[in-house]
Amino acid sequence: MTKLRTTLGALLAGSFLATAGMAADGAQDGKSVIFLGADDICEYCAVYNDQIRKMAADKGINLEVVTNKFDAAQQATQVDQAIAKKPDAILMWTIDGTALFPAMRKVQRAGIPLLLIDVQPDQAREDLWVQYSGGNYEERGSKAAQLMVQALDAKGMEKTGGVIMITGMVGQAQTISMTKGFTETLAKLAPEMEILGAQPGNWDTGTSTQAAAGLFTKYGDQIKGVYAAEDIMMQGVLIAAERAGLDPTQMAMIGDGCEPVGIKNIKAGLQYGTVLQSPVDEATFAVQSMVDLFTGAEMPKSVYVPHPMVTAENVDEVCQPWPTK
Amino acid sequence: MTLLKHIAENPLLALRWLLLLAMGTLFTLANAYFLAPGNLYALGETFALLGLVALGLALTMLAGEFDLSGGAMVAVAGLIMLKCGTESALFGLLAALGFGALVGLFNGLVTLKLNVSSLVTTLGVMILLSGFAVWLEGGQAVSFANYDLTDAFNMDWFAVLSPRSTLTIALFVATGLMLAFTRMGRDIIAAGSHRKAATMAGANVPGAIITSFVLSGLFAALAGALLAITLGRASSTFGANLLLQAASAAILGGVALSGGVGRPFGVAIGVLVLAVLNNGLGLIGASSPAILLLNGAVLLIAVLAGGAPAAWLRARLA
Repeated sequence: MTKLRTTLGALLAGSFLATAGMAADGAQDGKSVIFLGADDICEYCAVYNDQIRKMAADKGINLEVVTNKFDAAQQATQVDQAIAKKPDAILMWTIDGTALFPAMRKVQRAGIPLLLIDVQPDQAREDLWVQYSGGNYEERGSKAAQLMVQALDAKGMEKTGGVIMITGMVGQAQTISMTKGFTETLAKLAPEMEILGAQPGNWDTGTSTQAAAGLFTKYGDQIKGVYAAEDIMMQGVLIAAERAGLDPTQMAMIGDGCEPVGIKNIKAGLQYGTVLQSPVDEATFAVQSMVDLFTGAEMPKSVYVPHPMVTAENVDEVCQPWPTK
Repeated sequence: MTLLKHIAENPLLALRWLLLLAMGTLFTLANAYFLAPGNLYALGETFALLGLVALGLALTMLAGEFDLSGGAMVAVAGLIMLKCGTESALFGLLAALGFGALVGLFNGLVTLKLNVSSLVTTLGVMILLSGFAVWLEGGQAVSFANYDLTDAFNMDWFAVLSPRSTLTIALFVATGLMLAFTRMGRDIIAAGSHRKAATMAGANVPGAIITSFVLSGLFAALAGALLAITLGRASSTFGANLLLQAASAAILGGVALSGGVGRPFGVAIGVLVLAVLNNGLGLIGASSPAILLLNGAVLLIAVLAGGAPAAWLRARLA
């Protein structure tokens, strides 16, 4: 039986590559692209950067990777730097969708094609870029809410009571979108459930442990579900729950990312589910976006990687181990 | 020999010039685009943001104090600028600057009147400001629809200067002149050199300390407001990494932690050393760990060179 992940991949490749096939094959050879990435220390970012370097090299694209520490102001100056080097295209992992608009306008004025990944800015300004390819953060938050309701059903629990959230960094576009997606969908699917509290986990296990510990102390038995916007933050929640003497199997614990620690916790029954965000898929889409640009293929403004919901039933099929160097 | 003596007397001054020259040469050789106007413009933008925070911090250090609240002020001032500046950008700017000056005044008064260490006072204020920024933000993206103003602040003069970098250079010059030629400037330096002696000599020490904190708050607020205009966006996360960089730049620029020593020109060179290092490393595609390591190494070299090696050189040339 064909695995779900393989099917997804085939579907993606089929739809996304179909347009490229019609265009000038190999036109991307030797083209120079500056990739204004995010961090290269976070695990996801490191895998992403490594994959995109390899995939771009395989396609003959000279990809220069520039990173920052999730700093929008620094990325804005990196755009100035990139424009000075006159590349054939700029690929940008938008640290902050709104803050980079002025920088995107500079790229447009310089006549350099701009491709975006990871964070999709307000589509009202989509004249500034050729294509966005990558994830949909609001959809991921929404899927997490669906998983939470599914988990409550699976555990035979009523859809009433409280939920706590461990979010990403306050103010980041990703955090805002994921929180919006989660809270709006939960309000629709389980209107009697209440968000008791939310604390930033800053995409970090240690911070999330402290944040969850405070919320567990304050709300204790009122908590029926926890949404952590990343699996490594859910790991912190599980540590805090254990210290607080709470049983995570009696709560709906939902993470995000299909990260190695999330897979482990799902298999151990400590976490009910997660939502797929694959650095390999996203890098594949970004490279295809570059190839399409140079081969003159038709390019829709937005191309999204799929975010299937993952539970113990399909974790092995959907969540693949992240490649190592 | 005179040059050697001058170097021995001012080892940090010589070292930062040497560092700047060496890095500029190395990066130019490594990447031809280092001296491209667009890259120099980017360098100026980094200088503008870090420079204003470092200049304010250096003023408090000169007065023998320390202001830890500058980084958090950048975030708050940006948010105030955009929240209050929807109808009138000028009003938003004045509100941000007024808030910066008020917080500076508060820092100075608490430090003086309650006789509390400025490190403790400004640490508390830094945490308060971080919380205030999150509250102001309210979980929403705070943005600025006045793209004409944003474009105006992103224009270039002579291909390499922006309004922000020009204004920052002007403020460095003005602060340098203030320290050199005004009584308040001399009082700030005296307050940091030997407070008791300065008081006995008739210097306005309380006024100098408060002035240094008010200017520090003002400069950080200006940095935040200008950043918000330039990006068309403000966030509670902006400025998070600035404080350490600003302190590094001030120390690299020859400002003594003990107070009374250092000048804005040196701070400008310290800021430029860090800006050129990060810009050049980014240009040649260095990884984040490499950039962090080299930043630490440069600071360590500068600090160490000001200690025993400098004393040894002085003794040899005496």
